[in-house]
This record gives sequence, C-alpha cells and structure tokens, in this order.
Amino acid sequence: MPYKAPDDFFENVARKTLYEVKMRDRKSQHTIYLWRSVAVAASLAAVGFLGYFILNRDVKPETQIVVQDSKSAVQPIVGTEVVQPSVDTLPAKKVISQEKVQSAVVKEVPSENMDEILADLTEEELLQMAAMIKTDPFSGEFEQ
Amino acid sequence: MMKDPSTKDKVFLQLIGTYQKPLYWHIRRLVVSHEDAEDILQETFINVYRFADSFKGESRIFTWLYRIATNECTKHFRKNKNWLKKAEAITEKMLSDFSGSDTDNDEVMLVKFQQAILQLPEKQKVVFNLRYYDELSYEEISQITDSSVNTLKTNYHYASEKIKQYLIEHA
Repeated sequence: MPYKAPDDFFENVARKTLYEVKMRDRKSQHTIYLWRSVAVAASLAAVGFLGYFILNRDVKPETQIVVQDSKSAVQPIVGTEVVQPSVDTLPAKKVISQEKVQSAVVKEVPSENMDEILADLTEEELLQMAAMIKTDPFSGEFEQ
Repeated sequence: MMKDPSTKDKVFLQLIGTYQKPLYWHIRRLVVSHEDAEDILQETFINVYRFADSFKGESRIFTWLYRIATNECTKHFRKNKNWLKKAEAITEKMLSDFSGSDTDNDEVMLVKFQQAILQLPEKQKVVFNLRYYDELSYEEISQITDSSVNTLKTNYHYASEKIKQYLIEHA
C-alpha cells in the first residue's frame, strides 16, 4: 500500500478518543439538565396559568327579574293548567300597557333597566303585575 | 466487560490498542485521506463506547468493529459528495511525486492499483479490500456487510475484472 500514517499517530489515538468520549458525555448531560429545567418551568407556568383562570372563573351572576307577558304566557311542561288571572282580581279599567310589559317580557333584563321600568309603573299596574306573578306557575308563590 | 462501568474505560483502551491499526488501514483504503480516516476512526471508537451494551456476542468483536467502521465510511461518502475528487487528487499527487524521484516502479503500480480500486462502486470496493488486504473469509465479510456469500463472491469477481481492465488501460 502506498499510503503512510504520521509516526506518532497510533500512540495518541486512545488518549484523544477517550477524551472526546468524555467531552460528549458531559455535553449531552448538560443538554439533558437544560431540557429538564425547561420542562419543569413550562409545567409550573401551565399550572399557574390554569389556576389563575379557574380561580377567576367564579363570578356571581346579577339577580335578574323576569316578568311574564300575559299574552305570551309559557305553558308549563307538566301540564298543570295555567290559571289566567280573573277579571275580578284585576283593576277593571286599566291594563298594563303593552310597551311596558314587552320591555319586561320573558327575557333577561338588566337590573338597572328593571328599576327604571318599575319606577315608571303606577300603583294599579304594580297590583296587576303582582296578581300575575301570584298565578305564575313558575314562581314560588303559586297559590292553588 | 465493557458493560461494567468500573472496567469500561480500561477495556475500551485495550480495545483501541488491539484494533486501531487494522481499523485505521481499512478506513484509509476506502477514504484515502489521512485526516478523514482519523476522524472516521475516532467516530468508530466513540460509537463502540456508546453502544457497547448493544453488542450481544453473536458475532466476533472484530466483525462488529469492522461493521461500525464500514458504516461510518458509508456515512462519510454520503455526507461528502466530493470525497472521490479529493481522493483522486491525493493519488495523482502521489504519482507526480513518484515520477520526479528515483522511485521503484512497484510504488507507482501500487498507486495505480489504488486508483483502480477507487473507481469501483462502494460495495465492490469494500468487499475487495476486506478480501484482498484483510484476508477475511466470505463468511466474515458477510457478517460485516450483511450480504450473502454468493453476492460477495460475485462482487469480488467483478471488482477484480474491473481493476485488471483499469490497469491495462492506464499502464
């Protein structure tokens, strides 16, 4: 063979190779420690993030008053008869105006608006509404 | 013994001492450049150290070592597309050095012989070198290259023919 190797080449192979092996081992261990630290930090951050959202999620809803429209009275699911308020219980002449009732019909109304609406109602209208609520099957004051 | 951490380094150094020369020349014949051969030899032994646990003892140690070295050479060929040009440049320089001086014709023939081997496809080159220079049996070469004995015999035959042809043309 025409090729030649440097004179002291084979004397240094073992030493150089072992050194390189140890260096690579050390580097790979450093890399493992680094990735482990990143993983732990990321997990802690994720847990903190989730905890923050879970704790801030519990907000009490505002109390809402739902007033049922006499025309759009919801039929109860169970099949009990809807008792329409008798004419005797209602003031004879005055009926709650459509506009006022529609604004308070079966939908959620913010409490500030509801206060204004109630303030606008006369005493007769309030009595009408009270009678309606009494006969409302979904309210707790249903009288049989 | 390399699986035991307390003796691993000691055994590793012994292994290097025993096999560094045959492995180096096997690699050098394939890649030609001394610097490349040095790097590949080091990578080979580093892999031996890292994957000592994977050696199950089903083959002999030297066939396992040769296999790692040959695989590292293959990686080198794939990574460095210009390795052949570099190798040819080295052999051409050797020829031009010989022509200027009072050298034996045998040295020139040896270089031309190497140039002929360089022209072979990778597999034929490996088989030829292992059979001609390392004098391994076809069974041992089969364990190194993962090829059947018949395929190896065919490869060796074609390699020999191509080398003969090259030397006739470039005499």
